[in-house]
Amino acid sequence: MAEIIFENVGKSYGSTEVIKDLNLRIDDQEFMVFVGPSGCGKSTALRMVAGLETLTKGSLLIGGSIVNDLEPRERDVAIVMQSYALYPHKTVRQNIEFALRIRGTKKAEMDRLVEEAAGILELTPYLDRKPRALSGGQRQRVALGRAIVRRPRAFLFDEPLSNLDAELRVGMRGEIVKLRKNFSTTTIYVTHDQTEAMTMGDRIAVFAPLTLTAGSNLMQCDTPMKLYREPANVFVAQFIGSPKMNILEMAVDTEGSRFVASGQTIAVPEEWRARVADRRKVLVGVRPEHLHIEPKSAPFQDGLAGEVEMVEVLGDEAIVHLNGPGQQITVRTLRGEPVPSAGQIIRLQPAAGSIHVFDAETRQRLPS
Amino acid sequence: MRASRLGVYASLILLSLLFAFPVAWLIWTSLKLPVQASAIPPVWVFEPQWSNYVDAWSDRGFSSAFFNTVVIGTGTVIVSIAFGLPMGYSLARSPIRGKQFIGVSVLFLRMLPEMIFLIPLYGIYRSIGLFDTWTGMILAFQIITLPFAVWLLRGFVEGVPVDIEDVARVDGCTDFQVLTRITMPLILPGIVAAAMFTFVSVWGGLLFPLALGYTRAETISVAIANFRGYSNFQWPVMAAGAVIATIPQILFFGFIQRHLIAGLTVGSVKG
Amino acid sequence: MQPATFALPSRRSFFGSRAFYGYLFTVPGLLVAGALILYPLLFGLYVSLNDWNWASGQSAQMTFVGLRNYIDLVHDELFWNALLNTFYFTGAALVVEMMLGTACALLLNSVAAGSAFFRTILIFPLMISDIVAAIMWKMLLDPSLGFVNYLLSLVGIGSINWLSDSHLVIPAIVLIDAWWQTGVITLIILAGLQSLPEEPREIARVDGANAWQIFVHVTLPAITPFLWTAAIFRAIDLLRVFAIVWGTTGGGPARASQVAQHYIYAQGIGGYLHIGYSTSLAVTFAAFICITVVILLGLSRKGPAE
Repeated sequence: MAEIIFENVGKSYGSTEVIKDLNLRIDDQEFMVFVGPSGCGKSTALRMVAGLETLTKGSLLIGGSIVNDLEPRERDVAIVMQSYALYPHKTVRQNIEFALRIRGTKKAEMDRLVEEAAGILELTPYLDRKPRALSGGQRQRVALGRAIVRRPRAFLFDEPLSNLDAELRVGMRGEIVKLRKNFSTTTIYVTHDQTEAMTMGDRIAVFAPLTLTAGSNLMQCDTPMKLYREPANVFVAQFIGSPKMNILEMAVDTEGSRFVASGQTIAVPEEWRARVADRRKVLVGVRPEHLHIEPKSAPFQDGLAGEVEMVEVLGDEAIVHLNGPGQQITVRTLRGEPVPSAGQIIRLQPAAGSIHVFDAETRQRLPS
Repeated sequence: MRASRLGVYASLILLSLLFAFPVAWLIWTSLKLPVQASAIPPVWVFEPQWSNYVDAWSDRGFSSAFFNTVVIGTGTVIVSIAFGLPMGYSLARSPIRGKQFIGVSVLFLRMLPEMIFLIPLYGIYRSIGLFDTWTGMILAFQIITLPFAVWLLRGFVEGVPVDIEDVARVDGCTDFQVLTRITMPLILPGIVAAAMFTFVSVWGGLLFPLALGYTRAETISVAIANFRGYSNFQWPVMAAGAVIATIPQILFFGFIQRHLIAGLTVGSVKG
Repeated sequence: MQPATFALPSRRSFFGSRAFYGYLFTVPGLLVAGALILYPLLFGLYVSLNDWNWASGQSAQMTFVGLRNYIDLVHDELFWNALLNTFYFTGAALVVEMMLGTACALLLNSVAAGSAFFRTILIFPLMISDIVAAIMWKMLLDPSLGFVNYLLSLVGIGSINWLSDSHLVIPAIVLIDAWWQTGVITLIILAGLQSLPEEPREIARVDGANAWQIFVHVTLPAITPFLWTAAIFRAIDLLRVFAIVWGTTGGGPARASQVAQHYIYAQGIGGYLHIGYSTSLAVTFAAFICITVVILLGLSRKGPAE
């Protein structure tokens, strides 16, 4: 049983607070992704699990026992670093078997396990090479081999693919997902790339730097779909999805039936009516891919309008930047939709069920 | 530009002659007969007397001084590395303020006249019976070799990426195992350089054995110093002794140069 | 199918923790440093306040006399003579070596082909120990049989009493030291020159400056920090000179070349065995060195900002 629990965890370097009030539970055999911009504490949290950083506050539990004071070697976890951190003076074989050798494993057993790991990762022909004779992708696989060979309770990945070029990265991502099938080990995977996060994780924990938030750095922890469909706050809403979700400052009209900004209106959807009833100002979010461009012939109704500033055509799709009510709005056209040109005035209508409403001060999603 | 280039090379050749001739003269003299060595005008053609080297070697106390210096030098290296490597490692990896301190203290200690250590140490050694002993010399030399070794090794440890050591810790290493199985192999050229520097300091150090030694701990430098009372008839033997004393030093310096360069490129092996 | 069994330790132990290894790595070294560096220094400081004469036998008594040693040394003409000689020697050697070393560095820097070869030769004397250099030059500078005087005689200069003329002896030793240690300056200045960017010099040349002007207005200001580094390093070693002098002249003639460390040595373990008094001399001399270094550092900071 290797569930990992953060209980009220805090971390400060001197007077600088990096992690605050972190409460998170990673289930046994779950693949959890920590994602967030740089400086948000995700790597620090990971290193805490490894034992490479100490906790200033709170408790960390692995498999039910508090591990705060345990040395890294006593925790039965394995880590894969962004820089791979292979032992330069050892061969691939020696790199992979090192952890076993330290524990006094018998030679025959070591060889068997190393060869098994090398087979899974297609490293068998390179076993006697040194790291400097390997390519980036091969080195990363050796780092993976080192981690899997001793069947630890948990895998910890610290941005392992960030040093690879784009093509290699996609390939390696597939490798790691493949490994998942062989080893259903609890995993924490740190990345700043939301595509990686969305495609690999069972659940994703979105972190934010403490400069952007008053409470804990953990902004939301949910499945990828829930993060996309029901972001808990503006930070998560804008972090997931590219281009970023449009966030509009709007006021609620006196009847509570429309959002108003600079003379433009959006009808308040049924599901939000009750929640916005007593509110004056709110933040309305709608993703670029959920805004339809109205044909000129459509009758005037609620909707946003603005002059097109710039159009970026990407094959079948286009990203349109226009000046909306008080700010820029981004729209992503779908395949087949006509693409407007700069200078045109266009009208937009949000798709059904695609509105998100957030409190104007706390920036949290309005509770139901 | 032709003329100035010629001038540069001419100057370099002249300077090279000036810097090289004394040593050339030394070797030349070491192969002469006494009467040839002190002849003016100098004797240019002669038969090389290799026996001078044998004579120098069997000169009173010379060979035992040579042997002493090898023993004391080796002992000093062992102590300086054994104590200095862990200290250098700690300084490189720990987050405490001790970092600046070692650099500053190395410089400060270097500023002080050796006598300020040696006279009190003389008193202490005579009281506890360490005067004129190998152990006493090895410990005394630490004053100049240990801080330098710590400083040098700390620099080399800093060249090893911390990530590698972190992974080793997660893989199961204690700090001691990280140092011996991971860091040490990676800074081996640096350790060799530190060892050589230490050895050379002992080899060429005069004041320490002069102050704290007598016969049993007499080093090669003291043996050479004893030549200063010799007459000009003994110039060939003196020169031969000087050459014997200097050859190891030159070899070690050559070693240092090669390994220092190698050691500085350790950190560039990524992966 | 688990490989090696993994057991979580039942209780937290100190042995094997990071703190444990932290101490294990540093405490032995600190003990050695404390015992061999700190203790002799402090003990020496205490001894300097005592009258402790070993001439009468090893188990002589230490009598506390407060600052008497220090008061005595103020009146000690021989000490001040030695100090004066030391500073004279240091100043002269510094000037000579800085100029020669910088010249060598400039020459080495301006050629590509063969620079490694020439550099090895110019640096070569550094590889010889001080006492060997001293013995060697003592022979070379012999007034009647020495090679140097022979060479001079070829150009018509008569025999010079390098080491036995009290006016010439320190210049002679400056010569020896210059031969021996100029390489240090050369290396430092060369490193400095090689770290300089090419552009300023090229621009100056395009602007029409000649070699000398380029040197004075472009190169020199740029290598000033290196010049100061080299000067301070060298000064520290020059002030502490011993073997170069003691090996050639033994302080003569008539103490004309007796330098500070030699006098301290002679007063103490080298002859008179006035352990207490010589320690006070050593402390005072150390203070002089520190003051000199502080002054030099101060001067180096205050350089004109170009």
